[in-house]
Amino acid sequence: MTQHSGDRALYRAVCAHRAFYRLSTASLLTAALALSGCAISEGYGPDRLRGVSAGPSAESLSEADRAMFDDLSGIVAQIFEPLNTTLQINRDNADRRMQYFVDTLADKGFGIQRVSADQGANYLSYTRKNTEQPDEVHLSVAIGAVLVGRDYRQLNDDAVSPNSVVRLAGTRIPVAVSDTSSRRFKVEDPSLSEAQYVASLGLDEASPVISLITPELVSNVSNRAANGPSLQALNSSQVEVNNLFYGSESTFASVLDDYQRIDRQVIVFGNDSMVLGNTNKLLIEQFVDSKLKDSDVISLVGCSNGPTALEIGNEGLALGRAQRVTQALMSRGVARHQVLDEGCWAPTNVGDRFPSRGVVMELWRSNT
Amino acid sequence: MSFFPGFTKPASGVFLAIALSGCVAQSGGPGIGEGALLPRLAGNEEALKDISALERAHLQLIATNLVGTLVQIPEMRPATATLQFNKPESAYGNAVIRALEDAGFGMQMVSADQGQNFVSYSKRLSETESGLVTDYALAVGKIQLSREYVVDEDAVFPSSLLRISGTDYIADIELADNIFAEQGGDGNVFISGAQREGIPDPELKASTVDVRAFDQLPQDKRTLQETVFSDARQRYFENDAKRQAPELDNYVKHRRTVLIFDDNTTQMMGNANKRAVRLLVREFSDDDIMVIKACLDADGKDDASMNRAIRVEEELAGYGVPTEAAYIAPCARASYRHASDDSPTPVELVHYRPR
Repeated sequence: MTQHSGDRALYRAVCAHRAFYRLSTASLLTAALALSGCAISEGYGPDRLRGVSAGPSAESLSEADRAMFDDLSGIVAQIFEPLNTTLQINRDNADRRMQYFVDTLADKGFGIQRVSADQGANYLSYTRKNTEQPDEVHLSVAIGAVLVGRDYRQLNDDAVSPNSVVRLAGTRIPVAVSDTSSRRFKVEDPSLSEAQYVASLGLDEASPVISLITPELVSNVSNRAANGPSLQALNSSQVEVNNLFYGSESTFASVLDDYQRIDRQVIVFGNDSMVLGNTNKLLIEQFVDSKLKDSDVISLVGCSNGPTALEIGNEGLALGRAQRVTQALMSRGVARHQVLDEGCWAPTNVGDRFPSRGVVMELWRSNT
Repeated sequence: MSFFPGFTKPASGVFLAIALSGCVAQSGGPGIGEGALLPRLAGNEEALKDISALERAHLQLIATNLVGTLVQIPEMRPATATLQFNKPESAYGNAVIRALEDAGFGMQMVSADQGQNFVSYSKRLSETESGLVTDYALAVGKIQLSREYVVDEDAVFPSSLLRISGTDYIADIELADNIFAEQGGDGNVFISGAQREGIPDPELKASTVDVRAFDQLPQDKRTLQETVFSDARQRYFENDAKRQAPELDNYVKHRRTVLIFDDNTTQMMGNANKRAVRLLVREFSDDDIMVIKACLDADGKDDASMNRAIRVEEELAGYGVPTEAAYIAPCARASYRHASDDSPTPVELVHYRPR
């Protein structure tokens, strides 16, 4: 807002400065216009500074690329409800493939939010890379914690052929892969028209520790002898959890307030072992395939109670077993945030409350 | 007003003649290109071709003025609000949709008027005792904003207060009216302030702004649209932090994590930090609060820290934590950080539960 003080000296100084500035500006502007034609400023919007082209500029995108993104956008629209989902993309992203993908998703009804960094629960990004196979391209898109990927073989006439099944991570929502041949998308192997649920290794990098700081915990720590079993430790998601040997309530009890237990199974491990084995793998596979819905939560309590010869002790063994089951669940497409893993460990037996060497796996479903 | 104020008309004419010799009958002169006004999603290029670059600049100023106000209304936080819109049929429509996009709203194209936050807008020309004025309106759901603007030579100025309806929260709103003064003027005066439509306000804060020739800034020195929106958002968060400081004595700490930003300026959180927030929010209940401690290096105001805190609060909002449940803690001196320090920067996030 402009304020006028009536200071004439200052006013004259400003005028003189501006006259000089205008002279310089005018000269430069004149030269620039004469040389380059009537270039019109892009205004004071961000485009001018960043060189971001406004509007769709995906014309130069190859037909093969379009076919691949069309294919994956159809899968994305099955995982997320377009009319209720807003996807975030970085507003500086002028990549033509991303623009085409965003336009395609917007046409399907998704909300599109352009953010300054990587804000949002459904932040959208993609990776396109050549694989070790000749003429094969791997395309994957990440939407929040969900990853959708597929390999494609590039054909000579700017067309592609799907060269793998659709791999999904971070979701168990059933999707139909209905590949249909067209001029740019040639289906050569119909057996690849299906979805496979895999672990989201690309997104599962180490994250910050989330520590527990409840007053009860602080109090317990000060009361317990230092040479007893630990009272808390980090689970597979770097979230600090209580040792359930000392308490009856799960660290995640509040999460499960609105959930009802649907099923319970115990995965039994060998003595001093974290090896899952074929039988347990099959058990987990059946558990996920036949019972799990996408909004369900799985609670795990890894246990090791009794003497152990391992250096990692009961704590490492209990949480290691829970982590091993978590990995097996994630390899079937279960999202990490759907798994609540904790542990129960002590050098003595805990009675009937928990198994001595196993993981209690419970399925919880929302009441709402 | 001359294109080159401060020069005599013949001198200006010479400059213009030279300048225009390099081009053919384009819509020359001051103004902005079509690209600056065209929405990235469903833009209508045809609608922009019939107006001059100067008119486009005016529309951008008007859209910035209205949208810069909209983002300060609590119900309309860009981090959480997705707006529904139809493909624009007019230049003003393009300008509005583009400004909403740039303000950070989620934009969803619909075929009719679906959605709770459907965007509608209008432009009405009126002949009044003050001359021709144009009333520009923008409505998002039940929230409506409108203001009259008048064109004077190369500049456009507001000619009324900004009227707002559909919300009770207009006390903290600050209009970005400085963007009009930056055009310069010849003793132009305009009124600045916001009022609730149809409701007299005895405490109305309105002022008049005098615009003189020396207020004019070169195009590339004027306030960026992006800056208007980010300042408005930041002001909202700062006011919000002051307004709703919780009584922490009524809460106990439940969980704590420390997010690490790569340096003091970045807003990118990265997958690991985002995952930590997602896992932390998983245990969040209705009466809980989150306290964000981003400012550790000074007693007082620290813009970089505030931006980081806002970034984290926006992330929390993206996962469903309401604004009123997230609190940005004031600065507390913990360590000294030099301005040139680009080492990783922590933000502490503490989850509190009621006692």
